[in-house]
Amino acid sequence: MSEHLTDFELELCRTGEMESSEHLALCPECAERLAQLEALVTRLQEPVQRPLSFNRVDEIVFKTIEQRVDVVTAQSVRRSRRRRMSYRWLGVAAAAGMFLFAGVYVFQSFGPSTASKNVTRSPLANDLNDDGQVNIIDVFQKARELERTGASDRNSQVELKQIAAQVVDLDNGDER
Amino acid sequence: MKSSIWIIFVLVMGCAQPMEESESVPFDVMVHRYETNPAFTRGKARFLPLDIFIASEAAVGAYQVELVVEKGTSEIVGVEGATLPGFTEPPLYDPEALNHRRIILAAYNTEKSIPAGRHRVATVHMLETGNSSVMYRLKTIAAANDVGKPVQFQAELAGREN
Repeated sequence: MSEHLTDFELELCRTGEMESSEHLALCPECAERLAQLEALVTRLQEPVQRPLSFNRVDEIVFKTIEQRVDVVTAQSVRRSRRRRMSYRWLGVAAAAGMFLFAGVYVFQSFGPSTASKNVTRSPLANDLNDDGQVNIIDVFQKARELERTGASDRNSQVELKQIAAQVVDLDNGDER
Repeated sequence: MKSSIWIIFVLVMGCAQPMEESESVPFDVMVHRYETNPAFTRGKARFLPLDIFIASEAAVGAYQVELVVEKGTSEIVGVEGATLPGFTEPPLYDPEALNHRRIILAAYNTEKSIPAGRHRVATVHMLETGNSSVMYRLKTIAAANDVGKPVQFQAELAGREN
């Protein structure tokens, strides 16, 4: 048997530019190669089915992004509107509070209940008898109260000692 | 909205101070001065016990006085109680007063009171170091009877100079 046909000779055979040789009729290997070549050419001549154009992909991606942006924007607008409302209420509340505070202050300062009487208000927490000063009388009254109620717990005793210490503290009195 | 309600509530509660009223109890503050005898001052340091007396028409369950060195060189070095039952312990005082020129003394007893009349309630030990006499001033601050009602009282100083 003669030598196998080259790829070029096989191509010429396929296109009919060269007559089929005797070798091709007898050699199953070359016949097989020619068949493969024909099949390849046939497949190459078929119209190609492209899955998606890039433009289409871009369109879908952008649409998705737009939808997402719309959702986020709507949420943000709702949130900002809610925040604006709460700030508005906060302002109203502060104004109302200031108005009430001013009213109470004016009433207490210039109202009839304090203007007509000579009243002293004790600012001292331990001034138990409201005489305007924390002194030994407050300690005495506290001690009597503890005895009367039977409160002998440590906290009560500590509180009593604290008041007593405040009474004799050198920061008290006229000459500080 | 909820926060606004809370803010208004807090502000209103802050403004709403109690409207309680109290009449200030009139108390006549009395001052007694004691000047040491210059003859006893010989230019060297000496210890002087200063007895504190209180006098009241009612029994006294609690008293408070203030002692100040008004003039001269003297400092507080110790405090002693009385011999009266219930008041034998030294009265309450601020330890910061030691080695200084001013002290607030206070004592109370809910079971035993100081009988009406004049009694020594404490002794303050002084250290005098100057060449001149020393002026002490004792001021009444407050006193209560055996049930805690304020009472008028007088306070006196007397130095044991000998």
